[in-house]
Amino acid sequence: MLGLGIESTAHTFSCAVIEKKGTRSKILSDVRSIYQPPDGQGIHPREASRHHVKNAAIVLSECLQKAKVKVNDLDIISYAAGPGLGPCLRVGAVVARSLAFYYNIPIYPVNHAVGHIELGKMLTGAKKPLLLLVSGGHTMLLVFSLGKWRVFGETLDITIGQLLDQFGRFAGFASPCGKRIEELASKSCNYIALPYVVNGNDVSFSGLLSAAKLEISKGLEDVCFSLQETAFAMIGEATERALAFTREKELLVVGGVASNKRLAEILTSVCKRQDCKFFVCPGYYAGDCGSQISLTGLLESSVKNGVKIEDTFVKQSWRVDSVEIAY
Amino acid sequence: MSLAVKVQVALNNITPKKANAIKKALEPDNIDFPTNLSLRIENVDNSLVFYFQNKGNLQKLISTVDEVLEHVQVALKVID
Repeated sequence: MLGLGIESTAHTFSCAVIEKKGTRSKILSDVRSIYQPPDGQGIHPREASRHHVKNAAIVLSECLQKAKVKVNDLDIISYAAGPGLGPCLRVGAVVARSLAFYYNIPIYPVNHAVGHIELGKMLTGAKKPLLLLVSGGHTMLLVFSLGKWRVFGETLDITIGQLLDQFGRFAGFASPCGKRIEELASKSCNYIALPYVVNGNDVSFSGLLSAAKLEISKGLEDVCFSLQETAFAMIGEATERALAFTREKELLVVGGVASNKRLAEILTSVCKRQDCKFFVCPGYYAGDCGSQISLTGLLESSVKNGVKIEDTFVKQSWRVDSVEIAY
Repeated sequence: MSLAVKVQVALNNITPKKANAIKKALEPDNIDFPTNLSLRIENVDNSLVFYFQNKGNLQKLISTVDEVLEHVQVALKVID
């Protein structure tokens, strides 16, 4: 079975084709175009959607060429229906609906966060993990139970990706800022005390962001180091508590921030203490991509029919714990 | 006094199949419009016609026409 997945929730417009044979899935192509805001600025939803409009047909065409398939060969089309930025989501939905209706192909709206999870599971081989989703849109600890991913802990305010991006933009970096912060942090080991807020299984980053901005004059490398150490230690603590409580024997990290090596180091030591296997989504697929959407659509198609075009939707705030998983 | 404006945009010489695909692709998002702004899409002969109606804030109308036309453009590009 061949599935096309379309991702457009924020800065990335991506199309991917996955072939699914029984329980095995293979990524045939995954092409992306990423909106790049000016240095020091964040994603402007309309500007990002204009980028998607401009690049959608190019990305789609390259994706099909790389996979060596034609639109008519596709068995299903899935698109990221949320959560995300409204104008960006609508571009992906319009592309998916146009193709689905014109070529008479079943269509599946997919939850973007579930996409991260399913792709991470497929690529790492994790079976029943405690899930840590760390990205620009999410900071969540999730456990699968009774047909849904249940939230075990999450951020009470901004996400880890927002923390890194907002700090980075304040420092004048180009968005997304995680890589630059990681690079600067690796050059220091001088810790500046910053607010550390873990409330039960939840974390809070807004005070940390304000304090880090105030400390910037003490040296960028030291502040980047201290920001990462504090934020990742908070995530590590919440994760370790969740592992101890749930007694899950696997931890899987997905989302754009999953590619941060310092976070992986901290979580590796957490897993060692909790006698737990550690899985991290491979860097290229950790961030937003069409593969996550394509795979989730294919999984859904194994248990249900496509949605009528008139019933397709976009939902800017579509929480992962509201999605029924039947496959 | 608030300004009442009607804008009509017609895509002419378009095949019924393409017109229908665009209409179907755009209509599901035609919800939760701001008060006093509306959009209706109709197939008329060999044309696809968009009827916008607005009362008051013109910027909302301009932004909506802009986004709808972008969606038409992207839909046409991907099905071609």
